Amino acid sequence: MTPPLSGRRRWLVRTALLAVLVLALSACANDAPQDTLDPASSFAEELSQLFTGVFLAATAVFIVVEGLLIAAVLKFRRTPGDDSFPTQSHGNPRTELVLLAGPIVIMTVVAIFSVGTIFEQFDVPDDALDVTVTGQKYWWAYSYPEQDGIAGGEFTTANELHIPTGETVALEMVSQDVIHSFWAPRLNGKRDVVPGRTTTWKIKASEPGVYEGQCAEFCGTSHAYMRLRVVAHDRADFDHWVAEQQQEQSVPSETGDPEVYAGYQLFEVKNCAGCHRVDGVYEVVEATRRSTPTDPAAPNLTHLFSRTCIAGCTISLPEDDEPTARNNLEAWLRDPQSKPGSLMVIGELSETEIDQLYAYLRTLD
Amino acid sequence: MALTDERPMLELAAGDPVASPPLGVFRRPQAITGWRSWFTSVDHKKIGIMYGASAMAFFAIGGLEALLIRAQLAVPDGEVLSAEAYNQAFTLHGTTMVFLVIIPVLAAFANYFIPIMIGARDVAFPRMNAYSYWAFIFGGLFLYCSVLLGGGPDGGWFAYAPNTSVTWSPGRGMDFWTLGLIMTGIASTVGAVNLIVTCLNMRAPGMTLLRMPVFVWMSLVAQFLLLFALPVITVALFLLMFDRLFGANFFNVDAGADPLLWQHLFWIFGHPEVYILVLPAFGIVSEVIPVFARKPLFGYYAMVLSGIAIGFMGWGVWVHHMFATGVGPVTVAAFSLTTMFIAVPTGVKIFNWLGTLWQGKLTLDAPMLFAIGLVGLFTIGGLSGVTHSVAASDTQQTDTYYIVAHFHYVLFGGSMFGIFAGMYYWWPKIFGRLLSDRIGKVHFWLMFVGANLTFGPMHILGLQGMARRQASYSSGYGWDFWNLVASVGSVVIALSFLTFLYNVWHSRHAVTNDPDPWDGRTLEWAIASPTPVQNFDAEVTVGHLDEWWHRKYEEGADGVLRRRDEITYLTPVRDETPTDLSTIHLPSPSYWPMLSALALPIIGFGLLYTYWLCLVGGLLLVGATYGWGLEPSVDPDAGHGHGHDDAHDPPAGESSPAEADDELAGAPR
Repeated sequence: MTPPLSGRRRWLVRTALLAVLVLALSACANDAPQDTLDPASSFAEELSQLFTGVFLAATAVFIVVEGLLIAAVLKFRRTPGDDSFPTQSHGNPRTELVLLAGPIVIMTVVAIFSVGTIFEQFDVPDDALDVTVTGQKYWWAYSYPEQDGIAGGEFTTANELHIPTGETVALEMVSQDVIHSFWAPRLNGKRDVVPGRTTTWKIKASEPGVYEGQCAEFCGTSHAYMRLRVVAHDRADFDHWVAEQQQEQSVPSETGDPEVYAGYQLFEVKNCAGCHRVDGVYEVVEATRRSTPTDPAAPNLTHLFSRTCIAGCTISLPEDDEPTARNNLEAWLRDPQSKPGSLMVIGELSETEIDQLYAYLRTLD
Repeated sequence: MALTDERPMLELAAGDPVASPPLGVFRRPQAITGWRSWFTSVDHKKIGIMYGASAMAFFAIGGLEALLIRAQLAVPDGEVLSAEAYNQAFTLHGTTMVFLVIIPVLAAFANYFIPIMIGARDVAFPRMNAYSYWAFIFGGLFLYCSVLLGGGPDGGWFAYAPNTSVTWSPGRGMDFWTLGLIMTGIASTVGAVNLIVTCLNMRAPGMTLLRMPVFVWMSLVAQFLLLFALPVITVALFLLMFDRLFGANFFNVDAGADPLLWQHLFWIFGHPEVYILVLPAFGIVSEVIPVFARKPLFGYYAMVLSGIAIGFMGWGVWVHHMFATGVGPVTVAAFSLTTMFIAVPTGVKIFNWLGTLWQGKLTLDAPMLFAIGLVGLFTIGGLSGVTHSVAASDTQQTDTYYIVAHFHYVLFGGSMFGIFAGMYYWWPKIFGRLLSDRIGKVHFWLMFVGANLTFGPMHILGLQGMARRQASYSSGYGWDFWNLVASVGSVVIALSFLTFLYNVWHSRHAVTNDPDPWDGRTLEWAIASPTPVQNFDAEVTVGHLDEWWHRKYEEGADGVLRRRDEITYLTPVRDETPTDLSTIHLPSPSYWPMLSALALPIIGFGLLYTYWLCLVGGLLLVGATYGWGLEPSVDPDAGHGHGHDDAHDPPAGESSPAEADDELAGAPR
C-alpha cells in the first residue's frame, strides 16, 4: 500500500479511538443506579478498586499487544511484486522464555494482591445484624430475628431490605424453589441463593439512601422482573422503622369506613389470605406452595404501604404520589400476569371490588 | 495392520465371488458422485463439507436468534419478544452456537484437513466418521423439533438445576434439548476417537508427531478434551433426562439433592469445552499467519506445548464459573489461582503469533485479515478473562453483560474469526473456487466493526450493573444507549454474514485449478484443487515440518532461498490427466452409518411420546449395527477390479510393499 493511505488509516484509527473514549466517558456520567464502579460501601469499594487495578494492568498489556500487532501490520507489509523472503526465523528460545516470564510475573503480582480479598469476602463478623433472606420466584422476603440490634419480636417484609447505615448486615440466604442470586451492586458483589443450602453474604451502606439491585441468576420466566431494593437509614430512623414494622395491624371495625371493611372481607373471600399474611389479621396461611409463617408463600403484606415497591420491585408505590400508587396497585390487582410469569393467582374482580381491596390495603401502612 | 474398522477375520478369501452382505436390504451403494452419494459417503472430505454446510446453516439460525435478542434489548421495555420467547431465544442461541456451530464447523476442518495434512488417505474409521456426522445432524434437528412441537428449551444453555425440572420447565423443550445434546455428544465422542486414532496411527512415513502442523496438533488436543469432557456432560444429561422423564430425583432438592452437583458436572465439561471451541481456531490461525507472512511459525514447539498445557490446565479451572455460588473460600482461592495461570500458556500463543508477524512480509488477504482479527480480538477476551479470575471482584462481574462481552470476544472474536480465516484460506482447496478477496475484505471489516460494536459496549453495560439473561430492562439504569449500540452492531454482524454468503454465491464462476494459490507450507497444497478423491496418489514420505514448503524452496549456496526448478505435486494438478482410480483402494460407501444414526431421534421421540417408537428405533439400531458389523469395509463388488488382491496392489510410487496390505495407502506408523 502507498504511504498516504496508511497515514489516513492511522488517522482513522485515532479518531475512532478518541470517539470511543469520549462516548465511554459520557456514558459513565449517566445516572446508573447499579453501577459497580460507583460503590456505596467499603465492601463494594474494595471490589471496585481491585477491579480497577487489574483492569489497568490488563489495559497496559492490551496497549502493548495491540500496539505491537498494529505496528507489525503497518511496518511489515509486503510490497506488491516483492517475492523475496524475510529472515526465516523459527523462534528464539531466549525471547520465548522472556515472553513466558512476562505473563507469569504479571499474574503472580495479581495473585498476591487479590487472593487475600477472597478470604476477607467470606469473613462475616459475628456482631453483624442478621437478616434472613428468602428468594423465591420472583421476589424476596426478609425476616429480622430478634437480636442485639433489634429489640422486640421477629417480623417479615418483602422486596425492600431496610438496613442501618454503617453497620455490617449478615444475610442468611435460602431459596424456596430454584437458584437465585442476591445482588445490590453498589453495596457488594453477588452471592447465589441455592435451594437446600444456606449461603451467607454481607452488605453495608456508608450513606443513607436507596440502593437498587436484582436477582442475578437466571431463575425462570420472570427473572428480569425479580428486582430488589436496599434502603439504608440512620440508626435512629432504622430503629423507628423496626418498631413500626413490629406492630401488628388491627382488624378494621365494622362501623368504620364501609369500603375498607368490604375490602377486608374480600381479602378473605377472594382467598388473598390463602397466601398473603397480614400480622394481627390474617395469620393462618394455607400453603399452596411450600411455606412456613416466616417464609410465606406470598409476600407478607403487613405494613404494605410502608414499602415503595411491590411485585419483585417492578411496580412502584411512590410514597408521595397516592394517585400513582393507587393506579399501579389496582392495575396489578386487575392483572398480576402483567408481570410475565408471575405466580400470583387472582380471580376476576369487579372495579368496585378492586377499589374496596385497595381501600383495605391502603390501611396497611 | 492399523486400527481400522476392517477385521481380517471378516474378510473374504481373495478372489471369492461375493454375495451382498447378509443384512443388506438394498444393494450396497457404490456411487461416489451424484447427490445420492452424499448420504452414503464415507469420504472424509464429503463428510467435512457436510459438517461445514450444516454448521453454517445452524450459524444462520443461531444468528437470527441473536438478532431477536438484540431487537428485544435495543430499547428499554422491548416488546419484540415475550419473556418466555426471550428465554427460549437465548437458550437456543447459546446451545446452537456452541454445540451446533463451532464444534461441528471445527469438526469439518479437522475431518477435511487432518488426513491430508498428515499424508493419509482417509480417517482411521471412515464409516464411523459418517456416523458422527449423521448423529450430529439428527441430534441438531431433533433439538430444533422442540420449536415446532410446543416450544423450545427455556432453561439456558447451562440448564441449571432445579430450574430445568419438570416443575419449573413443564414443556417438552428441555427434553428435546437433553436428548438432542446426548445425540450430538455421541457424534462428537465417536468423532474424537476417530480423529485421535487418525492422528496417532495414520501419519505418513516421516510425519512424526512434532512435524504435524499446528492445526493438527490443536485439533488433536481438542479431540482429547472432547473425549474426556463429553462423558461428563453426557452423565449430567442422562441424570437430567431421568429426572424429567422418570422422576429420578437426582436434582430434586426436596428429596435431598444438591443442585450444585449439576453445576459441577456441567462446568467440568463446560470449561474444557471453551478450549475445544478455541484451540482448533488457534490452530487455523497458526497455519494462516506463517503462509501470509512468508516465514515459519515463531516457536513451533512453544505453540504445541502451550496448546497441550492449556489442554491439561483447562481441567482445573471449572469452579471459576461458580465463584458466586458460596463454595468455600479455599476452593474459590484455588480455582482463582489456576484461572490466573492458564493465562500464561495463552499469552505464549499471542506472543508467538506476534513473533511470526514481526519482520515478516505480510500479505493482507482475507484469510490473513481474519487471522490478525483473531489475535486482536482474542487478546481482549483473554485480558477480560484475567479480570474475571480475581474471584472477589468477579462477584461483581459474573452473570452480568461484562462476562457476555468476555466470552463473545473469545468465541466470536476468537473461534469465529479463526473459522472464517480457515474458510477463506481453504476454500479453493475444498471447492476449487476462490472466494473474492475484495468481498472478503468487506466481510472482514463489517464483521470486525460489528463484533466490536456489539460486544465492546457490553463491557460497560456489565460494569454498570446490567445482569445477563434479563428479558427486558427499564430506562433509568444508564443502559439505554449502549444497548442500542450493541443492537446496531448485531445488524452489522448480520450484514457481514450476508456478505460472506454473497461471496460464496459469487465464487461459483471463480473456478481455479491452482493447487497452491497462497504458496502454502503444508501437504494439502501439494495436491490438486479441489482435493481429488484419493488425496494422494502415492504414499508421502515426510522429512520436515512444513514439508511442502521444503519441497518447493531450497537455500542456495549464497544462503538465499530460491524456488526449486522442479516441483513435483503429489497428484496430477491443473489439466494433467487425472489418476486412474481403479488402481486405488478407497473405503466403500455404506448406508449403515446413516441408518444407525437415524435410530437415535426415533428413540428420542419414543421417549417423549410413545415407548413403541423406542422399540422401532431400537430394532433399527440393532439391525443397522449388525448390518454394519457384517459388511466388509471395502466392497468387493466395487468398480475397481474383481479380485480383492487388485485393490491391495501397492500404488505406484514411493509406497513400499510392506504397506500394501493396509487398508489405506496413507499407511500407519
